Amino acid sequence: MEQQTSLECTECKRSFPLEYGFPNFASRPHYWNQLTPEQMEALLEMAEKDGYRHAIEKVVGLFVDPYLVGYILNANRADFRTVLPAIADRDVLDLGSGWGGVAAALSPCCRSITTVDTNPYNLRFIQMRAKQENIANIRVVRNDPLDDARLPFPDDSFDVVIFNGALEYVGEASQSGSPQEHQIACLKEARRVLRPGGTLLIGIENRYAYLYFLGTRDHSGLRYTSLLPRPLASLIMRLRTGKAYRTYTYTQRGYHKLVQDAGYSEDSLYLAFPTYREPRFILSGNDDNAIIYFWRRHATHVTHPWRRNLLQFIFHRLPTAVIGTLVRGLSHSYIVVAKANK
Amino acid sequence: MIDLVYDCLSSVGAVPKRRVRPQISLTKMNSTALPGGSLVSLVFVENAETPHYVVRIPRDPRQDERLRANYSTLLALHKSPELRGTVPQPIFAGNVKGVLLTIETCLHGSQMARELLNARRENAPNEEIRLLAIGWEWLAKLHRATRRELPQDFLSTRRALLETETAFLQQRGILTASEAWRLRESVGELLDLPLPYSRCHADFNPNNALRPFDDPTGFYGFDFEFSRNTVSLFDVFEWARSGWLCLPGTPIVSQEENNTRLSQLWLQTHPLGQSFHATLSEYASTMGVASGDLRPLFAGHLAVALAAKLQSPLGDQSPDLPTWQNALHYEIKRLN
Repeated sequence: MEQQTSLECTECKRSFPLEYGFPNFASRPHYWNQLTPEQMEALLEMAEKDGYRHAIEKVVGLFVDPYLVGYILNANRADFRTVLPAIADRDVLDLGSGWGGVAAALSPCCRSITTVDTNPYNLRFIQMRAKQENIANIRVVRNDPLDDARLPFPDDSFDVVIFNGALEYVGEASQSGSPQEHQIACLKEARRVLRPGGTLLIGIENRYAYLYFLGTRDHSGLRYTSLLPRPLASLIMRLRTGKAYRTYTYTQRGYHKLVQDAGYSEDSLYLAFPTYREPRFILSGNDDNAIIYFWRRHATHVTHPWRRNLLQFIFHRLPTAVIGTLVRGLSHSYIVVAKANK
Repeated sequence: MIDLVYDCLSSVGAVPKRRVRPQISLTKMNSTALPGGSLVSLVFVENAETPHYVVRIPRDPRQDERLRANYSTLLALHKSPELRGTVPQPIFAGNVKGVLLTIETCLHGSQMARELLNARRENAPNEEIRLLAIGWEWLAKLHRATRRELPQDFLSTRRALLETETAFLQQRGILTASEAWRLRESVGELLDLPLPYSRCHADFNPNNALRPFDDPTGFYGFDFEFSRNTVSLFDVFEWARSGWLCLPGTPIVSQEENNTRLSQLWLQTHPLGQSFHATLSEYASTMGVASGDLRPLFAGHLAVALAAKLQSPLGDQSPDLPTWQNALHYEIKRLN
């Protein structure tokens, strides 16, 4: 039997190649990964021969941060599904799927999951992982960066669209236009492929996360850039790296406005600890009592006595509303869930 | 998820059915990322200051055994007048929109792990021993209430497990061939006796226990996801291991053999040892032996726990491994 080598659009009649068994809708080169293409080739070769898990455990820790091993393999990557509606008979789209950790964790819980990324190596890895794990409901698609706001799917194709650590990079692959405009356009495109009443989930950092005040590096690779006014951050970036500042994150209000501008409603904010990538704890952002309960409980586990006493003082003495506002405003990670208006 | 939880709670009358849904919020709590685990969330109803319920869903719907074990154990324990009130009340279990979901009440108290750690930090060994004794007393109630006949094939399964785990430790270079043999022989002799068999918690450690805020002698047990019918001593030993040996403090083993946590555990003149032996004697009497004669079983328990740790992902990178190996060697050395 002759193997199919391309896909043809029934409307525009354009043809798209099938590479390694998945469709390639990319029209321009784009590469983002922790590993170089050469390292990825070595990893894929080992994954094919000795299994994907073995390859990740043996290769990734050698080249980059060993933390990435758990990040790729852990089954808790999709624990955010506690804030989603029931998805057992739903179709999910994971945009900017990276290593496919979310897709692999979510696949047993939904009808189908489509992963979209620009990096063919990652997509090959996801495909190999799915095959070795006998996961039949993961579909892999290569596409242009999300800046282009073009998804190769018909209207109303999915029930849930996920941006897990992806939206902040939308705008980075383009040189013109404001990143915010790219992000809104991308969210609108996601709304187009969502079925009426479908759910958008964004896992992302808070622009004013307390860690940024303590000197943690922003997505730009520099310190404090997310805290600065955008033009100033851009100026510093240009001086230091020769590039503009284009990895925009927002405050809780900023995300509310962003999703509203993109045509979503009923948005809810959740606080993810320690991060949205591997959320051990997820709190409802609008329940101050739940926030206080969590932090009081958490404070008793702090080992250093003076830190424990300070936290206990704060969480027992300050008014509930003040604590709620502070925790929401300074949390590191947010999960935003919104409903698509059609 | 919130809609599902509300539907379930209102279907059993736990929250009123209204046209406008009462405000419900979920707080997802930390739970193991290992296969078979559950996603656990606390449910806050109508802006309450404390959560009313605990919701569990399987992380992977194909692996829901632990969720079922937890709920069925809660149902069974809730029938016992001695235990009712010391474990969460089961509220709901069912498949809703393709999701298996269980709801139980949320218990409120101070975490036993925290209490033990505080007692140790404040150098209050009597408080530590008191807390451990409360745990053992609760276990005795649990095991009495759920005691049953030892199944015929159980001992051969136990022997096989011990064989496998000691062989694994031998293969990893942790036990020598003679140590593994000595351990199997000593434990094997005890396996011929009528071992007490009951429903066990099977993950009985201070993180799964609470002390009620208003009752210094009270005890709450929860998280029965690993619960199964097995030898009752499993829980007793695990409580000793996790509550007395695992927390930082006096060394578990050292050159000064009489002043280690392991020796204190078995020393009948030490207050902790007294409490431990008092607990063990209830189980030992049914087997027709003295409490001290059960010590080889404790060594077997340490061996199985160590093997399980090594087999878990990244378990062989645990900084505690040398300590546990020393403890096991120390116990094996003491075997006749």
